[in-house]
Amino acid sequence: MTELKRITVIDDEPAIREALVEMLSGAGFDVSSAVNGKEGLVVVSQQHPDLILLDIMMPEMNGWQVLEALKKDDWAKKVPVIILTNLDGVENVSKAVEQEAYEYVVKGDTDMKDILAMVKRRLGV
Amino acid sequence: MKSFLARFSIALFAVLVGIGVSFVAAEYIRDTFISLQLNPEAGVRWYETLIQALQWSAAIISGLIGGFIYLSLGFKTEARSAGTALVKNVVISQGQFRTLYDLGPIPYFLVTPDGAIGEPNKAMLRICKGMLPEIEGKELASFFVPDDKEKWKDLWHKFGRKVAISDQELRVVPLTGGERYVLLSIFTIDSGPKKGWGLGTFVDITERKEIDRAKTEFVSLAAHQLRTPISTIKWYTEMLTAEAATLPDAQKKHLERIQEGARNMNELVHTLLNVSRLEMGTLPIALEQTDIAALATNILEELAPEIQTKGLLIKTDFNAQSISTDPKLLRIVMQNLVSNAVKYTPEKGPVSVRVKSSGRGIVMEVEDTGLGIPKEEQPKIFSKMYRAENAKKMVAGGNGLGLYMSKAITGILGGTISFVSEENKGTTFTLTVPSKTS
Repeated sequence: MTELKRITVIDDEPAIREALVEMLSGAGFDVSSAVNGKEGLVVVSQQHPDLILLDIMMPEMNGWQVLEALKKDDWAKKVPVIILTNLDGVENVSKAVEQEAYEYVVKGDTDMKDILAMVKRRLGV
Repeated sequence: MKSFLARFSIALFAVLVGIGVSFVAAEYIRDTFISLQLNPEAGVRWYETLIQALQWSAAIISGLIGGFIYLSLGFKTEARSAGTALVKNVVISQGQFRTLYDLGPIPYFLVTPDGAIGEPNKAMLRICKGMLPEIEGKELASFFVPDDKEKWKDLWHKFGRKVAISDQELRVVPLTGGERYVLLSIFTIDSGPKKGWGLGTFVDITERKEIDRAKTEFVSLAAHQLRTPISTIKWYTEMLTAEAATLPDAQKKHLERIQEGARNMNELVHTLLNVSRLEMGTLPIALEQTDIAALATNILEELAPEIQTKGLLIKTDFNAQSISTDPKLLRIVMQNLVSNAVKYTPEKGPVSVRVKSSGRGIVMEVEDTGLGIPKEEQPKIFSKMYRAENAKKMVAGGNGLGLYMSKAITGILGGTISFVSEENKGTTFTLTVPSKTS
């Protein structure tokens, strides 16, 4: 049996975080989660995920700060990041592009099945 | 008047002296003739006439000299007083200008040919947060943030080729730290000892920038807070729907209704966000080359489910060039016009969507065969939250923001929007959009 692909979900909103965890686990991924950016970095360093789903507006450490911290780590900087947020606006999208995020997704505009399709595409499953 | 008296007295004196001298001279000449003993009588009378003629001409010449003195003295005085007044005025206005320069609220400074600051005024010292000796002679470039140095270099290079710098946004770092947003202008001085130097101004726009940023942040935050619960409703309903195979049909329908409600609410957040950004003037415009026909096709594809449900007959004629515009904004307008046509045309009715090139822009026409807009309501349909009475009866939903927003966005894109409508026959909206360069 091949090892499951690992995904870390970093989001402070419990309902959103749990929905993502449930959906991704149900689709056969090994999912870990964190409730803010600071905890997210710890989980990432322990779990070594293949993909990170990252919210932007979070307490302790926001998504932009997490992206910057990830970039400083030789290993973590190679992990693709999908930004999942309810912030929109050209300025945020271009910031995400600058920070080399893989995708920028506005939660309110996106169905779960589209997120799942995006994750599968990136992980090649 | 004082000068008139003086001039007149000098002139009179000159005439009297002239006459006196001529009489004395005449007496002398007569005495000489007499002493020469050249009589007889007739001879003497002849000399008398000659002497009288001499005296008269001497008097006339003296008069002329006096007049000349009078006038020339007058001219000189007038010239002198006019000159004095001019100099006085220049000195006064120079003083006034100097005061304005020194104490005016706008930072002024000179720029030497090698880019150093000269004669900074008080406002300039205030914005740079330094004393005169700390600012004067310092390189202007040293006050810009590192990110703006390239831009400054480019502007300075152009200025060297006689291109004035006008209202260029740059960030200035005061000596005590921090950052101010300014609009920089530099004009060339064309004459005088400082020919070739620049006269520079900064307009401090930091506060304006901060207010804009606060507005944008507030709206983004509000939208974010509204969308979070919407996403939760959407996603959990989606999960429930996926598990709903075992549910009775009635409950599946209820789930669909919740989904639809969440979708509509999300749309509304988008619309309100756009309206707020529009009204606050913080809606960013990103121009790019846009294929109008592809955009129109895409909008129709998106509306396909509703078009199919109503069995509408869609006629299209797309024959337009691509133009430079903001595709996201234009899409909102085009989407609005087409979806209104779809919404308000009764089942099986025809709707035409035409796009063609016009000059350097495009014209889009959306013709429906719907309700039409009652004549007395036509002037109001672009107003915020306005919905025509007959439209409210036909379609209950609708926020009355669509046309209001479309008109405002069209304005931003430099275009126009108009319509022709007849009640119970239909409405044709005409949208023109130019190719925008900046």
